[in-house]
Amino acid sequence: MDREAADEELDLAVLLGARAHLDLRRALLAVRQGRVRKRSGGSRLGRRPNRPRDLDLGARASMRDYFGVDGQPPAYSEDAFEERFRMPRPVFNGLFRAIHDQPGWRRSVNATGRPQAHVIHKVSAALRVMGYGEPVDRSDEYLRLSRSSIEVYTRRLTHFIIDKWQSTYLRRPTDEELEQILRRNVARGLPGCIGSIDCTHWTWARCTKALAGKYKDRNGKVSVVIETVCDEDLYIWHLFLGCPGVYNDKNVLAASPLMLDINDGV
Amino acid sequence: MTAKNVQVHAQRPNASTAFYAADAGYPRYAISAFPHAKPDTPKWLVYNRLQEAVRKDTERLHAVLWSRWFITKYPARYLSLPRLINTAKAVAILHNMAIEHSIHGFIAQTWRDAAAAVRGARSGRSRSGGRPSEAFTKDDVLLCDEVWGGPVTASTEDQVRDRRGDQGPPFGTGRYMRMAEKRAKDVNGHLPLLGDLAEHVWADQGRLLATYVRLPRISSAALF
Repeated sequence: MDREAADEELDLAVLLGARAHLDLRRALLAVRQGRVRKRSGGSRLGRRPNRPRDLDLGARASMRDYFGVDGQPPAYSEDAFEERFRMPRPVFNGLFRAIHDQPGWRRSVNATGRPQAHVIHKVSAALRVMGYGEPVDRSDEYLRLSRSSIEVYTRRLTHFIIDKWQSTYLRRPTDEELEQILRRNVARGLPGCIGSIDCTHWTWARCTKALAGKYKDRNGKVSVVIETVCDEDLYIWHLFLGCPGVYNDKNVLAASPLMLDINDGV
Repeated sequence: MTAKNVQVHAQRPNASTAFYAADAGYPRYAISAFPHAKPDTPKWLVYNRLQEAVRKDTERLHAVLWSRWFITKYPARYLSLPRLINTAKAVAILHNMAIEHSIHGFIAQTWRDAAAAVRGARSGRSRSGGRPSEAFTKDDVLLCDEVWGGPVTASTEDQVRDRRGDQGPPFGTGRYMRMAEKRAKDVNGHLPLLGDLAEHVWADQGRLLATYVRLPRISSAALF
């Protein structure tokens, strides 16, 4: 009897602990997004029941088309894979391997005991949104994921990528790499060149009226300036955006962290 | 920057006198080399041609980013600026990952071989792997001593890690930063840089590129 009671207590403690962890994570996420938001929707009494989406169908379709199920080869070729996921398969595999066991991503079971969406759903839907710039409910019909889920996972994928890879893939070149860039440019005929720099304007459609005057560029569009430095392979060595569209190249250069790097002697 | 320095670049590239290829919208600093505004001699025409070939990399990059990750082309439908920035960053990271894969897979194989041949058995780039780069470990160990120029101890070689190879304030100090900024924003250094570059290009690839530029037609009226 005592043993049973202790087990029950243990279960309760585990449950409470998990719940507290979840709450903490949610609070952290909310803080990180810059505002504390009310929890949206969810299954509650009186609300519309979830659509009977066949989640397994979506996962299976995705697997069948690009990864192969039941020992069959995938329906589409490597070229199609690279075209639709916008990255070669090894890169996608690396991304998937890094993300598939993360807390927000791994397949979970909801309160009614039904399994939720598969990881492959979430990743490919988010990549569709980023790659094709499509509305979030566009791939509902194919991947069987709701609009709100896709939006959430797009945002989470963005944050995940930045947290994990920003220090590796968006950084200043090391001395070794700098020498390599310089050596290549010597071969191209321009010794001493460490990349080409340019700005472009990125139109911001949903800018608020209050900011529109500040962000209006010389063509009258509301935009944000992106400053990049890249080498011959189009590898991005420096990315800086967020300057309002009224800035020209000189202002952006003066404001950009590139100038700090230059002052550091890079 | 002198012609001698350009020669030094050709022999052994050095970071501190480097520059970016920019278009004409940039300030006339010593760190930006942009095309000659009125190229009237074959020398300047050839230089402009080559400079454009290098400068167009970034423009290509923007086009490639837009076509590959369409969310950066489509007018961003986000309300907040941080989300816009995050999206662009994530896209750039994914783009870099794909580029790195293609480099390691195919494009720069010959290139890395050449680099390895030049420098012995070491491989070309150290981009691969998830380890933090040297640039970031350098920031991590940026201690008070380095900022304020600590006591000169026996390990002088580490502290006076000067990239120019001659005398000057030690790397990482405020004096070094001021010197670097002054040097980078040196307006007077800009025109000599352009001149030296143009001369170098003309001597190096002038004969090769001259067939690709359109020389100005000299009208008979201009002769008299």
